[in-house]
Amino acid sequence: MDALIEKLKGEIIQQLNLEEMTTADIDTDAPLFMEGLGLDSIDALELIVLLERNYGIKLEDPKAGKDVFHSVRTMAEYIQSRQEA
Amino acid sequence: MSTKLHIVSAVQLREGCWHRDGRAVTEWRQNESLAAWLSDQYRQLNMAYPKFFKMDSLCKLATLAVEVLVGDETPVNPQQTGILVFNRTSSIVSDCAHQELISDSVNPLPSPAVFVYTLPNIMLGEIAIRYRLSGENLCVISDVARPEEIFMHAELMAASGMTELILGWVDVIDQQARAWMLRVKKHDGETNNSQLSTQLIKDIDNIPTWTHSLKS
Repeated sequence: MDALIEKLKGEIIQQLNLEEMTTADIDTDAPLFMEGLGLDSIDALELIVLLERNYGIKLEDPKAGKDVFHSVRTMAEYIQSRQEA
Repeated sequence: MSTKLHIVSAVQLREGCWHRDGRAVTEWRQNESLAAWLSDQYRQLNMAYPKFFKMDSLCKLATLAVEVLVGDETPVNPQQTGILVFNRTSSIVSDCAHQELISDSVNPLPSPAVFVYTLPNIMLGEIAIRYRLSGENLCVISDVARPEEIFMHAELMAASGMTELILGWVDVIDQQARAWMLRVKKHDGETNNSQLSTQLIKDIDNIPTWTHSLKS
């Protein structure tokens, strides 16, 4: 899980153009939206694309997005659960 | 029309650095790409605006130009401050990036963050957000900067209640950038309108159309 979290942080930085951040700057459990990284609605769409492009995972239930994209850890847990399914 | 306008400040991108009212405010440094040059100029201006990095190169260039132009002297009446930007190559850089993504033979997925920049008037929105401006705004795509045309639009905006205008030209294509920006205000004095108009047109006409092109 730690390796996936680290990989995911790097992908988020690249995908969302968080040029001045490093993986060490991202708190694994901090909220991605509003607080924490302060991401916006376009970023949310980018994260959905990231899941599909990098992990082949389609977020079929839009309502699940709030929980899946709460933090880097919840994203990693979701990816892992889908890969194991 | 009898609107009185005058230029209070002018910014130009010249020889790889920004000049305000003829004085260099950043310095030229060799960079490997236009993107790297834009980031370098951002850091030289100490902007502390993370949203900058999410923008495409056209919006970054426009934002840098206005940052140099306005600095800490934000418009007093944001609701009466208009934005008027001219551009020749539209949003070609983001258009091409989007086309490349959706043409990918393996994974043709669009990027929302790229797609939102596939219109040149997005740079007006970025400027408005940065400085909380809510006045009129207009983006005009034109082959060349015709002073009479620029002044006509500026005059119309002023006549519609704008007391101040951020007015300029911003273009990015391939690794080339071109930009100038003016801060124009309604004149309070008794100066002859036609003289002011003539001076504004003359000033725009004299702005060098230098293109920043990175050396390989």
